[in-house]
Amino acid sequence: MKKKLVSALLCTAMTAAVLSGCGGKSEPATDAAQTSADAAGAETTEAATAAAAENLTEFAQVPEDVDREQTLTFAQGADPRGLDPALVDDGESSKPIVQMYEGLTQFGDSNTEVEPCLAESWEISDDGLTYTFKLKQGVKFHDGTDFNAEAVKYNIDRQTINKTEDMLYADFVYGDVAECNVIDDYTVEIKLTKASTPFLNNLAMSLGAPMVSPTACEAAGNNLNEAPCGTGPYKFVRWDKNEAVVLERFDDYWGDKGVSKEIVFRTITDNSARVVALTNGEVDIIDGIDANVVDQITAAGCLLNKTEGMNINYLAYNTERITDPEVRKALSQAVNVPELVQSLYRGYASQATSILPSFMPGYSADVTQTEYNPEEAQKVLADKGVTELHMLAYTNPRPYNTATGQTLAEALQGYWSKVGITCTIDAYDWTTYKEKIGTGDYDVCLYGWIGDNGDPDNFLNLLDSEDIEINLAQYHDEEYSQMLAAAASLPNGDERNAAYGEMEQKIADENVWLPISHQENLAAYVSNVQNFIYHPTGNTYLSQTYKN
Amino acid sequence: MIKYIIKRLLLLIPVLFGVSLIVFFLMRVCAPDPAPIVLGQHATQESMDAWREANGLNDPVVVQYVDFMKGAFTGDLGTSYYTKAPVTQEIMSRFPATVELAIIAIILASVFGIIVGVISAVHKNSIFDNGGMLLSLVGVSVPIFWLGIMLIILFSGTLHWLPSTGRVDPALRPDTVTGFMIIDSIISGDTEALVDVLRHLVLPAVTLSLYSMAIIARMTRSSMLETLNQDYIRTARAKGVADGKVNRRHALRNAMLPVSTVIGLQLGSLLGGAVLTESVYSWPGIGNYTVQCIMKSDFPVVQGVVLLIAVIFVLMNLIVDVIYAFLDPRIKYSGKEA
Amino acid sequence: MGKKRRTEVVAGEVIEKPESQIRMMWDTLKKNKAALGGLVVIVLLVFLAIFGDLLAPYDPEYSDMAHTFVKPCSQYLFGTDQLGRDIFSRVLSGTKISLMVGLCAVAFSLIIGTILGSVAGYFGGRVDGFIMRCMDIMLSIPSILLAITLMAALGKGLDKAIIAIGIVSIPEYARIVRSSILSVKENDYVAAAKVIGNSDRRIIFRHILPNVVSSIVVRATLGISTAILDTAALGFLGMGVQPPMAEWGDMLGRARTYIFSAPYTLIFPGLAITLAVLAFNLFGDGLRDALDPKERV
Repeated sequence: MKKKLVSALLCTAMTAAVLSGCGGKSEPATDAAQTSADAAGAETTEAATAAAAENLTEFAQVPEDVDREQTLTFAQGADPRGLDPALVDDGESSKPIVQMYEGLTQFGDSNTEVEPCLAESWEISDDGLTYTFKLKQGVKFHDGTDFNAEAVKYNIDRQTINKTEDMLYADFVYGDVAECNVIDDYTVEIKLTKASTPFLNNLAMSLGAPMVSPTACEAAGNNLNEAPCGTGPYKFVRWDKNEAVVLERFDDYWGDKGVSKEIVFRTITDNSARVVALTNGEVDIIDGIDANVVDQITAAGCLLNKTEGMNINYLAYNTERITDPEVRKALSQAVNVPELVQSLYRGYASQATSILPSFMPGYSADVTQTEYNPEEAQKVLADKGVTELHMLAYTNPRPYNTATGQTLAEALQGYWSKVGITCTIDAYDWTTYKEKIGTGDYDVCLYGWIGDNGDPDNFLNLLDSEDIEINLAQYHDEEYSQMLAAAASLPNGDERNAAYGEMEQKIADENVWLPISHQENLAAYVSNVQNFIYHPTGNTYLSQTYKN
Repeated sequence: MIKYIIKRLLLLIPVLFGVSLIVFFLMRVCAPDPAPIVLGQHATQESMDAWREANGLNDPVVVQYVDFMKGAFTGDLGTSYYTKAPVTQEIMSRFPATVELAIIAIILASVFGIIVGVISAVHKNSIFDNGGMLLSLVGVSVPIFWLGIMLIILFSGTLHWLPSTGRVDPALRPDTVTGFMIIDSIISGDTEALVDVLRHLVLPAVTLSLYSMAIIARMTRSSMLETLNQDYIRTARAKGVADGKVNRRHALRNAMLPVSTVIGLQLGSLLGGAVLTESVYSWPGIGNYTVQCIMKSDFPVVQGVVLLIAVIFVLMNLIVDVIYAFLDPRIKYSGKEA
Repeated sequence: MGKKRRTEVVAGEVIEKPESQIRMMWDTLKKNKAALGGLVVIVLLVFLAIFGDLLAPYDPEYSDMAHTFVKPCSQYLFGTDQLGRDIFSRVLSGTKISLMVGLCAVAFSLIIGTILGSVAGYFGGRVDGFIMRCMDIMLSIPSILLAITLMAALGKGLDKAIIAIGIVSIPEYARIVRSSILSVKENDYVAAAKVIGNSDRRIIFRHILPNVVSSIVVRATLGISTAILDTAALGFLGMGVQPPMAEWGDMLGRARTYIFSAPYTLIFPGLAITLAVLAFNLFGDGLRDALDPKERV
């Protein structure tokens, strides 16, 4: 794949060189192409060595003699929004959250297959509408509260009948729940309004689904953002805003106890500073790695963890502002996505030909996106009299866009300027950016999504949300909603997959989004870190990870 | 003297009044409406109106200002729109970081600035003098943030000697008593933490100090040169007092007077430079935070911070003037022209 | 200085002819090698600002995504940035922006500062008290913080940067002009001019200001360097110009991510800022030595 890209790049550059030969400036093009190709080649080998180091598919047994007093430090690119799984929606919050909380079900170590967790077993009625869960006994929350059927009911009621507006994941996880009944102390019954194939997957999600302590939640005024309390292997110590979240091993944990005594999630917003912190040994693991720094990381003797990412990096057209699909199409035609992806992500992301990444069920290779065609774009835009665009972007790197939102924004601005569009960019740090999105004051904006549960519905229902922070295109289409609802209740299989293919094509035809890339999950760690897995959902479950 | 100080303190009132007026005007009248930014996604017209009403933004600007000043007099600067925490609390949790950085920086700047200045003056027109003055000229010319980045490249990225972000390794963080990491780590008796804190301080402090260091060096040099030309110095030399002693006992002591003023004034301006330095080193201080709050239109916090910095700045000037008066008995304060 | 001053006596007023002042200045300046060096660099910068676009090998705003992060080579002297733009062309283009913002901001604060300072110094009393208290208020907020706040209120853009940076240095000029006027005001020739019935405005502009020009010129030269630094700082914090405009500080702020993988994206814009600021500082220092040797710092 990488080789292909390199040669494709070479070809393009050479063609360019030949074409521009008559113009006289042929030399620089060839030269530069050579440089780029060399650079890409070097990265390929580096990446190969690094990737060869270790890529676990499941956690190994932790040796007896490991130091259980150690502190593991993970640095990420933004401060969490909060630590209440019901109230946040970002990956930075999710990483500390998965160490502290658990749901009824959980995912496999490195896949999205559903396994029992706080629920030992379950039965599903034939009509797919009633789920009966047998709960694990003897589980305690960090504050000493017992985990039981009442606690489950409290959690589910909290995000259904008692739902407040700021519960961003409530509808994803519990949207189909009709009611939740306590059968006995350790048995709960959940009734759905309609059959939902992804429901068990949803219950394993890191946001929305985790169980919080009812007592702690009541005490904290229904907001655990600053006082998290779950059943997970680690409990909350403190949160120094914009600096670090500190967690400590929960010694009464019901399962395999955490190895490290403490886990620290540090916030280092600057991409390069985070790499420096890693290579200087200030932190043990980092993510949000820009392709440009891979060499620096491997040169310092650190290891690179590279896995396929369940994500999408895209541009959303605000369909309430740019109502004409022809204009959206022309804007998409102006952008040379393959070139953009290669030069921004240097082979660590693949061009998105659909919303779903290729390894997910529902992915269809037949979806056709708008092709690069600047001449036609320029003509249409001139005809329609479109000359200006207002874009909102984020300044940080994101897991699905390691090159930072601002760089991507400026690259797009460059393409559009070539077809006569003046694009003004307003870029903000991630947290502010989310607030700004809420105002709806943009023509186009950049965003991305990290899959939560491995189900295609999790990606495609984004375009059906009433919430502007999730449905940034503000796409509200009756037909699409019906297609989505129908597909969600189909059993897994070809018919369901085909349904998602159709929906993808509808979105592509109407140019609601401009899909850009699927980023590989890149994490790097110092060489003595063992038992580290970067989950496809973008989370890292660190309780069995340690340094020797 | 007491009368003079009181007079100066009274003059502080109109200045602070004016500062609050400027900031209030800029943030409330010119800056974007915070309601949609704060309320975000679910902002309906009604909820925004309700929010503005609740935060008093529907009142006439004059009323808003009076309310704000009433609160400010009782130490209540309002609550942050975003974190919902009291502004005073938001500021105080970050302020020690900035003060610690500024104090270390001013110490560095004074010590090295005076050394360079004295050497340059004593060996006037020598290679030390020319070198030192060229260096100090570069010091005032180089952008502080670029210098910071270059230092990170060298000392963190290439040599791996020093950390480039944060105040302390979170795992070693001492319990917060004063908020000053150096003091806190000494109180907790944790040498490892103290060393770590100092290592984190080196690059930001050096970066922040360079500009002031250059100014102090130039001031010391010219003040020293002037003093060395005074009659009593010549007399001392004529009497056969050793050069070194003349320089130290007579010249330096008298030359320090204007230098001390500059140092005092620099401490105030360091707070401004801290904005950039903190941004480069992700230093969790007030400067970095203020920039973020300005971008988010978090009015109450910005007002609080700017007011606080102005108070410090004005007080510093006052203290410098008072110390100056003590040091130099020739100065008489009529209180008219300060 | 040994030179004989050419003076002219008209109705009891003594005015130094401007030419003689410039002449003397030049004589002193000629001996100061550092200041001359600064002047040479300034002339070069001005040349580049005017003709830079003609000299630039590429369009500074043209992004070529096929050629990103090319290391400095004969084709791209300073390399290319994250969007495949030629850094050399961008640095050249940045000269124009920095000089323009520097000059305009200084002109802005100079004009307003001079007017405020003259009024305060000449009329004294309450007017003086009021104006100078206002200046004190502005001086008690660190200038960069005030500039950032102003930018937040005004929004991004070159014109707004000029205003923001201009406003924050008004008090400096007002103070200088005021104190110079206070010292000149008591001179006999001013009193004489008053006696023979000259208007206040005429006295300020004709008799007083020409005598404080030298201090203002020195201050303004040094002020340009401060303005260039402030512009860069605003750009670095992402509050300066709208992309893709090539502004030195903005280039630095945007390239920060690549400090290790592509340090050349950072080194050249930073060097450009330092060089420009250094040149104005050297020249300004030299001017001060030449104009009023007493004010040496």
